[in-house]
Amino acid sequence: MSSPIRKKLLATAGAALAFAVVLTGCSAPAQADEEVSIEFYYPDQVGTLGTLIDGYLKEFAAEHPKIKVKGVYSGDYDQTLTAVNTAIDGGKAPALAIMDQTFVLDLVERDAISSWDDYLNDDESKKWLDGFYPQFMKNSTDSEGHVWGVPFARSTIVQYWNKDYFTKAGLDPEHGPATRSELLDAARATQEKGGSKYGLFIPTSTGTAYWLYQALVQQAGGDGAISNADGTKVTLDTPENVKALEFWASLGAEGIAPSTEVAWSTSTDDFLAGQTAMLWTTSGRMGTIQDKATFDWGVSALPKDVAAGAPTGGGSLMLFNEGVSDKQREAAVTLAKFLTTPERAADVSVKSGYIATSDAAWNDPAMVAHVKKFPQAIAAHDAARDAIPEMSTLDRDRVVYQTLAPALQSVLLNGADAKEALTKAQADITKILAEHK
Amino acid sequence: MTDAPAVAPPTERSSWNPLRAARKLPDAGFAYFLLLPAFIFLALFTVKPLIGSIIASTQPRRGDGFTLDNYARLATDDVFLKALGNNFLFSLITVPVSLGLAMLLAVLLHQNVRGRGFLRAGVFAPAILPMVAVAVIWMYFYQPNIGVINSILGALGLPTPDWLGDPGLVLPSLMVMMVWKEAGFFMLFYLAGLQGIDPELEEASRLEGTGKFRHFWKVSFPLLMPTTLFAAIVALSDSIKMVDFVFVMTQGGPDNASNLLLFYIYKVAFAQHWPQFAAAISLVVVAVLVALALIQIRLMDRKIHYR
Repeated sequence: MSSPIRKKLLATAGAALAFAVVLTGCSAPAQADEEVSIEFYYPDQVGTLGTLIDGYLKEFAAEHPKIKVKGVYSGDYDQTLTAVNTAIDGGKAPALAIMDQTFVLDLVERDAISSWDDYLNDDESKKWLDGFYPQFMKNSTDSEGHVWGVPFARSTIVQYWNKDYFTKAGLDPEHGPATRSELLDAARATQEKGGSKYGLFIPTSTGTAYWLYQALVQQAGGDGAISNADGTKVTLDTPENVKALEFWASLGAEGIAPSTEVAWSTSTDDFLAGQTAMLWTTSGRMGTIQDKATFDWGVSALPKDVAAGAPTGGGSLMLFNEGVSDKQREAAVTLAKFLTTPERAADVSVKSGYIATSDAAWNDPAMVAHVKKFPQAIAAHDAARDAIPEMSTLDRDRVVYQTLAPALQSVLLNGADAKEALTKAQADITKILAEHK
Repeated sequence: MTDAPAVAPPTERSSWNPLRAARKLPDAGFAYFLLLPAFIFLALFTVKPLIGSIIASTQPRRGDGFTLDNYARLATDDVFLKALGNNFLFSLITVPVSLGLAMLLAVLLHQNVRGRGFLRAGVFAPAILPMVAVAVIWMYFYQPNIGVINSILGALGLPTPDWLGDPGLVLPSLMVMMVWKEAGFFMLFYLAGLQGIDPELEEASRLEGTGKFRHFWKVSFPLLMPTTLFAAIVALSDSIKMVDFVFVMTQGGPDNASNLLLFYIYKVAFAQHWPQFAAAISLVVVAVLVALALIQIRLMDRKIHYR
């Protein structure tokens, strides 16, 4: 290479280097030392939470000017877990995050989160923690009584019905079916006389099939929790389990539901578009249905069969360890308490349809006024009374999504034998869990 | 600062100055000096992760030590085997169909047809779209109740299947989308290839009275072989690495019917937080890809006429 060109090249490189050095000097952090900044990851499974949380964070900033919170919207629950895992591997976890309550076991096993009891020693804090409904604490409390998650957006499964179809079919539009036989009669009547294409949607998507299956197992008289408290054992091969799955498959076979996948994400839209007379889904969708429904609709607890009940669901606030200083931890606890006061729990419930997490929230004036104007909200609160814990195991993704969901789908969509599929799932899951002993 | 020297002190003159030193390097040395940044990035972002993956793949999920369990597990992991089978079918069908269609379109659009530029742009359009956008568009096509395809089928009184919700249909549905996306892209290479063929050959065929198909089969097709080899390797790697649509459209379901290798690797590494096993799967996939590329090159080399 000729020397002049080389000279020019080197001069340019030198200039760029000098420029970079100057720039680096300029961007040196200038932060007051008593300030603390934390990251807070929050998912939004239903489409209304994100805006709510943004608003709360603004209020928090006004009330606590020394704590800088960087709120990070992190997609749905599973995407949030991925984001947090990546952050942990990078050595910098968010100080606080809303995580699905069923992630607790895996996170504790990996020592990724801290128990709340270490930070809530005074009486006031204990009162705050004890105020939450016990059914919402079950998935977050281990067998030794340590609390790993504080309820934030909590839900259960409820049934929604289209009152127009009920009226046309000659059914009582004000009351949803209360028993299994009423449920089937209503489904057929709305299809035959009401003009609905389908009678009942129970979503069969990979991400939520286990959750709806839990309700069916509980109703069949089995153990709807499916897993034990430590997440080391599952029960999937009892006659009640088989009966529950056979009933679910019969909906598709008899044309009450599609025999192909009933997608979780679009099932609410299908209900709103009048594709089905009834829908089982999370109480967290009530806000969306309230906003968008062009017809009268009703909501109530799921109908009982041998027994009644449905699992709880939703997110809890968790304290992460990796790269979080004591000061940041303190700030995270302050933020968590701010987000879960009865007034805010009531506000979340009013605006999204998630269930008020304590009696204090349920009796909050805003909540009381909302229930008066909108009596459907009582349904979710009532449904949560009989709620059972959500299925949760170690290695949850492999157990629930990778093994149980395909087993259920093979029966629901591919016509496999329920007993065989469940027996195989039981064996496969036992093998996965055996590696965690 | 009392008696400032008029000239720089001698120590500074003899100190090592990197810019001055670089100026005196021999040409080959200077070339490497310029390539250094590229080498650093290659080492940092390709070589180091590769070595990291190899090491990780021999470690247990918890604790330290050396183990080959991750590789042994592959043979018994049902979901891996299912994803492998799915991906095999996916590649086996989408690669030849995409290439065949691309070649056909290229030959048609190489001729002087009316609106040629417009048609070429139209066929190439899907290739410019990001895969995620393609996935969202096709989700509307396939939506069972209000989707484009089922609306048309319904209006004609034909059955309206749930394209993405039926375990038997989901993979073929995704293949159709992949071919749509890929064919236009490879058509561009074939067009370039066709333009590189000497027009005298076509004239000669015409003078000899050779049919168009015979001319294509005996002249154009063999001369396009270098393009085909290149396109086949790119298409094969695309069919394994372009899995964005699985995230958007199906999440690998229902019943794992649309689970593909890279999606599964992602799930194992991040959702299940098992990077060691994910590394083992990745290395096996890379090894298979390299082997396939070598076979393709060897097999086709014999039939290729490079000019």
